[in-house]
Amino acid sequence: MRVSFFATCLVDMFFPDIGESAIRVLRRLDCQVDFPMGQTCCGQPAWNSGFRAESERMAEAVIRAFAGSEYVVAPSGSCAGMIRTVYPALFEGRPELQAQARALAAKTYELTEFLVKVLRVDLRERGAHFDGKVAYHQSCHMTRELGVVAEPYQLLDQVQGVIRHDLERPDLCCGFGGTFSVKQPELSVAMLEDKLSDLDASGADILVGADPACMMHMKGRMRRLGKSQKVIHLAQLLEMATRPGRGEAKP
Amino acid sequence: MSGMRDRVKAEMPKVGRRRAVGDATRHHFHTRRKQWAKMTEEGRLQPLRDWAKAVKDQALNNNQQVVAKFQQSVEALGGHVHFAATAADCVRQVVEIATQHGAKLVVKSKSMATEEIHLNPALEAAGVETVETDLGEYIVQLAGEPPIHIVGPALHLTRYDVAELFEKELGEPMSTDPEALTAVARRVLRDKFLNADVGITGANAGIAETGTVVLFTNEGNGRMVTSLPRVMITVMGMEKVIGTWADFEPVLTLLPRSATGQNMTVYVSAVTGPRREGELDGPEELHVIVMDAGRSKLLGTEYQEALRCFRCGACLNCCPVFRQLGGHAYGTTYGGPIGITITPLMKGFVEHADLLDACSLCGACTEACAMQIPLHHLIRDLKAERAASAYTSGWERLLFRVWSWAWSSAGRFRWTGKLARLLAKPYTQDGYLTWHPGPLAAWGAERDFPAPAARSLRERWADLEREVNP
Amino acid sequence: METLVKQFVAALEELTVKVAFAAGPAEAQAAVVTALQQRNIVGVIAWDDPLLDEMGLPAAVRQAGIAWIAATPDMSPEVYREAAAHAGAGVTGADWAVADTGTLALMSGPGRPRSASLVPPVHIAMVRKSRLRPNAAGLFKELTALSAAGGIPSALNLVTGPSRTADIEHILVRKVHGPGELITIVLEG
Repeated sequence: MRVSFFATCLVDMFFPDIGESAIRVLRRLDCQVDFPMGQTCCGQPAWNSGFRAESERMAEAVIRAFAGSEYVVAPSGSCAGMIRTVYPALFEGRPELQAQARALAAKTYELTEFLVKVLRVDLRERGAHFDGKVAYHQSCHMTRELGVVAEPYQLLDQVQGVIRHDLERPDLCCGFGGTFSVKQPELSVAMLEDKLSDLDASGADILVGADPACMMHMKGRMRRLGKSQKVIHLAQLLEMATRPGRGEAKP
Repeated sequence: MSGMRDRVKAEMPKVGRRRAVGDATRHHFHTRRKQWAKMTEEGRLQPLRDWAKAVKDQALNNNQQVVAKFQQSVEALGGHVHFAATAADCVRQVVEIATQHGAKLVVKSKSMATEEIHLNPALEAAGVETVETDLGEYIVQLAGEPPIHIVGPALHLTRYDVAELFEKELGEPMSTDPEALTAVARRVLRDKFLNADVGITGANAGIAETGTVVLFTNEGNGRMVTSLPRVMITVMGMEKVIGTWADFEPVLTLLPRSATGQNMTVYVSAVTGPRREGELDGPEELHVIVMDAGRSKLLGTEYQEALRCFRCGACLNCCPVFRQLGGHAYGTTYGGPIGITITPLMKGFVEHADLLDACSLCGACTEACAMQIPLHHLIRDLKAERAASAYTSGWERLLFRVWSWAWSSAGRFRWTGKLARLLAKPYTQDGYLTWHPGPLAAWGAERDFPAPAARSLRERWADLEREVNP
Repeated sequence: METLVKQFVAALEELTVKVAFAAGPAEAQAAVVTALQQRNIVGVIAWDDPLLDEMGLPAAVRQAGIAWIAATPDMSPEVYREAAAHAGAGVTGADWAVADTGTLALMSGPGRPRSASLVPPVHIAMVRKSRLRPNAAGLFKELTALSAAGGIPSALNLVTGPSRTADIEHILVRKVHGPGELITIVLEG
């Protein structure tokens, strides 16, 4: 299966390790991965702030970059959601672009969704193993726009050694919200504090996310406070769990 | 005028109140979610939501006809229907009716519509003692505050606050036991009910075919207000009217379950016209004021969907922002997601456009809305209107323009990435920034911000490709 | 029918409503008189209603030394109000009941003041089993028929349990403005 990796701007520029992990996991699951160099950013910050023309302009670039792809996979629920749920509506009245936007939307997946729905992986068969007490943060747009909720839990459950310490409200906003985090910083941090209390109460050592923006936010506060829990992307957990010599060697 | 940001900053230090708001909204959130889970299991939640939505859409699409039918029905029974184009008109009409009857004392059942138009001070100014009779409303009236939440007006106040307020008002020592405090309110307000000349209510729904006003109350104050005073005045938003009794069924089933999680509100009172021949109670004279006050501006637009709202408060209870703040910080009658949506539209875009920033667009409200109002989508659309208008800051517009120009080409994306890395380099330690300039200052006050990676993913791709695609 | 009754009773008990069953007038009288005596109630305000008469309630209650004031249409509203304000209980019928929510539907009319079930601290309601409907849909079938026939009363009150509030620290407290106690007597037929 041929997969074009949409890194998203944050992963490309700030968190390439997440991208590497995701690419390695896809590869181990027998995907042929490419990286279209024309890709930039999905345009979500502009869209969420109401700057439509600006988000359209960026969407056009993304549509062009992935025109020849079979599948597009992104390690971010909100960016995949932007392409899937917003792009087609952005080009209302521009039929040619709208058709292209629809085509892109139809072949774009968030990473965990792709693993479960398209690849239909069963990580148990591959002997995936990772020891840790894990809490998973759902991310708002991944949950409510894209509707991907069960898949990350399913994958976690397929990894031997993972002990789930679910948050009481894994779906509650971490307070990031794009420009919200700087337009209402006090509110944003207060919301984040609630999330971190939930994490503390969960007893987890590792906070797993599937949206780098939320992770950047949570980690930014945790680092400032000197909190002990680690924040990693689910792709990173899966990469460690399926590393050759660790999992695959097992019967 | 203070902006939303200033009000937020002023609210944040009120830790006790904020904790009370958080506890109460969390409690209501969970009771609703439990109730909804049960209904989902029974397979009836979504059909009911669809039915309620269809009923309201139908009524809103034909608002003029439905309201006209309502008027005809009320008048056929000898009641009076008035129309108020603005909040000021509505206030004037209520005060006129009350003073015409020489009213000295008015009792009110809980009504957000009358909060919206600031009716009480106008009545008081006309020399009419005006008493809120819902316990929560009574408490905030004594405290001199507006309600903090559509359904729980006093949920930010503790039993100790309430005891103190009652002591001050009644001049006698109070127990801090909620049961004892409630008994005091019963005693005091019972006297008001029995002596009031006029009862004022809001309306949870109006039923056009019979000219019925419907009120939901748990305490029984709505029933008192519609049973005992000689004159009854109902202030009802024009969007509240639905066609028929059959239309009322999904509203009746969904509203209590979404508001407090109860299967049914204790009292649902449907008042159809004034007292009839041979009856011993009920109002001898009935006035219904159908109020526009900005609502018609939403009719026929995409924002009409927001008029389906039946004020259950579920969007406040689930909203992570509202939970931090409570309603007062919004500086408007309606806070939370529904307030952010309707206030700029009904009450003036310029003055209320900054409400739009009190939202992280998490979408919890859209999920929780029984009436399926796409609240966070409407908020985003309002942001788009703001961005297209002159009310947005020039800096913000410039920033997005430049940024979208830069990042709509891979070449420029790469180039700006390199530039950012270069600029950040002197201020980078362990992969994080040590200095937070410009818009990052707001982030950096309480959070760390990562520095750009030494090598971007696209720069690593050549190596990665060899490694992963052998 | 019996499952419907069971469901109704379960819903009522969840709401702290006390339930009694009466096969005929003798049992209905006993239930009402006992309820009043247990609470040391010396006078009631009651609907002037054929159902209550049929059950022989006015005579039985008076015989027990408790004042029974029926809200007859010829009464003056002022006298009625005075009586209601001082009554220890309000005794009414109910036009329908909804099993799954434990709701009683009371229609106002001559002899059926709306506040008789509201102002006294205790409300005793009599409802026939045949008036039980399974759910809101069952009730609305009646209400839409009533509406079509022009029979919607000046006040229809749906009553689900005793008066309550949670306005102070979201702690549940009963008996705010309405009755703190609701007693439902389910009649055969």
